[in-house]
Amino acid sequence: MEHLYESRDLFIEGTLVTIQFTLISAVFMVLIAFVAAFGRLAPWKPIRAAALCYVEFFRGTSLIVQLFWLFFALPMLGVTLNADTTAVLALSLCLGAYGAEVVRAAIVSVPRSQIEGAIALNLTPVQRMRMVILPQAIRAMLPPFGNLLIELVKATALISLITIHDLTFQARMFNLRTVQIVEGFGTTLIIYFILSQFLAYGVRLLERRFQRGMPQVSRI
Amino acid sequence: MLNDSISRRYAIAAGALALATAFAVPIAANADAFTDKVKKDGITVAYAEESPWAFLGPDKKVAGTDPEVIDGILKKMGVKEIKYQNTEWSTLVPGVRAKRFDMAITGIFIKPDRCTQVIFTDPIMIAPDGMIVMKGNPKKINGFDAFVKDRSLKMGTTIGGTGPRDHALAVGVNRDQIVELPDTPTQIAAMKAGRIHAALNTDQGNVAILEQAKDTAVEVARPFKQAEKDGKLLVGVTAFAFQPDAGAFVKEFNKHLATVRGSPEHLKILKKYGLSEDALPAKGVTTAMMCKG
Repeated sequence: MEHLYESRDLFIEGTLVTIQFTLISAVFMVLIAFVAAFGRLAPWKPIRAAALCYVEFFRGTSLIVQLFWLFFALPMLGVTLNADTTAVLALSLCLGAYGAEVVRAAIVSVPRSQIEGAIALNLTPVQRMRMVILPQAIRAMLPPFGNLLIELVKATALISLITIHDLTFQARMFNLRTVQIVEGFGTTLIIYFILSQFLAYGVRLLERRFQRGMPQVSRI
Repeated sequence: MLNDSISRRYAIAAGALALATAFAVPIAANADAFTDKVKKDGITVAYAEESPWAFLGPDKKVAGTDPEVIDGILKKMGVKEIKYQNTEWSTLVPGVRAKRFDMAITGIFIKPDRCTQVIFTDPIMIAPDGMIVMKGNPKKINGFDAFVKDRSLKMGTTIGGTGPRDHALAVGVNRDQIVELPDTPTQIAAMKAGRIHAALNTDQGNVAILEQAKDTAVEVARPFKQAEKDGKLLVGVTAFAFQPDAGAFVKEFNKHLATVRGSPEHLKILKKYGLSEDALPAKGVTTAMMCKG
């Protein structure tokens, strides 16, 4: 226990780095998810194909391999991104691919009658999306996005392998210096748990916000 | 028709990209560019936290037998800034190969497969193998023989730390008796959990980590018989690893290294970390020799 107290700086620094990467990657993840989802629904075939390729490739390959590839293999082809950029890129591209399917499914799940009603009201396609489809779709996509966010905070543990000093990296350093594995990894588990609880809570607040003005459905 | 012209445009773009990458590689390889670069912008040195070779000291400065040796040499060579990068052991050599780091330290064994990836300096130290076992050495492990005799025994090694592992394989330890784990602490934890019976690393590293951790549930196996094949002891020889295009720089580095290695100052450094002249390589051991295997 005294080891933990002496090394508290390690854990604090590491937690801050983990939070930073989670939040920055989350922003890009959502952006990429929307772009790719609209790509998947685009009326133009090459865009649909490109979006499908992106989603299937990044969903279908392991995140740690993507990280290693971007970090160690890409420089040999002449492109060297720094570690931070590589981490955000890999995390948001990988989780964004899952997110794209969340967004797409939510948009497709809006009842056909809503779109027909919007057409009858003479709304343009952009207005239809902005005023009728998205407000309903976002309600449907929030719970799965909350899921992905928790997935993301845990996935950041992998960036410790490309020289970023996140929580997992600092826990490893603590273990190397003290060989107190139970305390080291135990503390780390708890910190990750607290972080994901915060994220889950944040998403729940958002869900409530978007539920406003809707008939009250029994909360499970 | 429309689709056709689009796919043609994509094909041309892809072709141009392929050409660009093909040309980008040879341009990057320029022998003296490396020297100029590190003298001007400083040098990035990757290390993995492992005593006694390299670790973050209490004063937040990188200490150990390797940093103390290179600090002096690099300064003499006119490199103004040394940027240390703490990383995982298993990423040291790949990182240098990918030019993520200019140089990697931390008791890296000169091995044939690594010689094709990076440029090694001349040998600096030797690092005999050693094992950590449970207190009292209940399985009577005093070398690799125990594992050859009893196939139910398992040992842990470090991922990427293939030096000691290859010695074990060379003397007939089975592949499935070797469990690869990220570092020594996880090996010790796995041993306490009964998953393995010994942690195989370098003896110097084992001694240092137990000293630091003050863990009394485990101990360094003594005596310990080094692996031996065809009448030859298999003992790792360490050096520093440089980027593939650092050839000219390494030549210069070696000249300085020759005057440092074994000097009274070097012995003082070794002593500071609990080592002696026993850790120096024998005369006549060269990097070229170790690269051949």
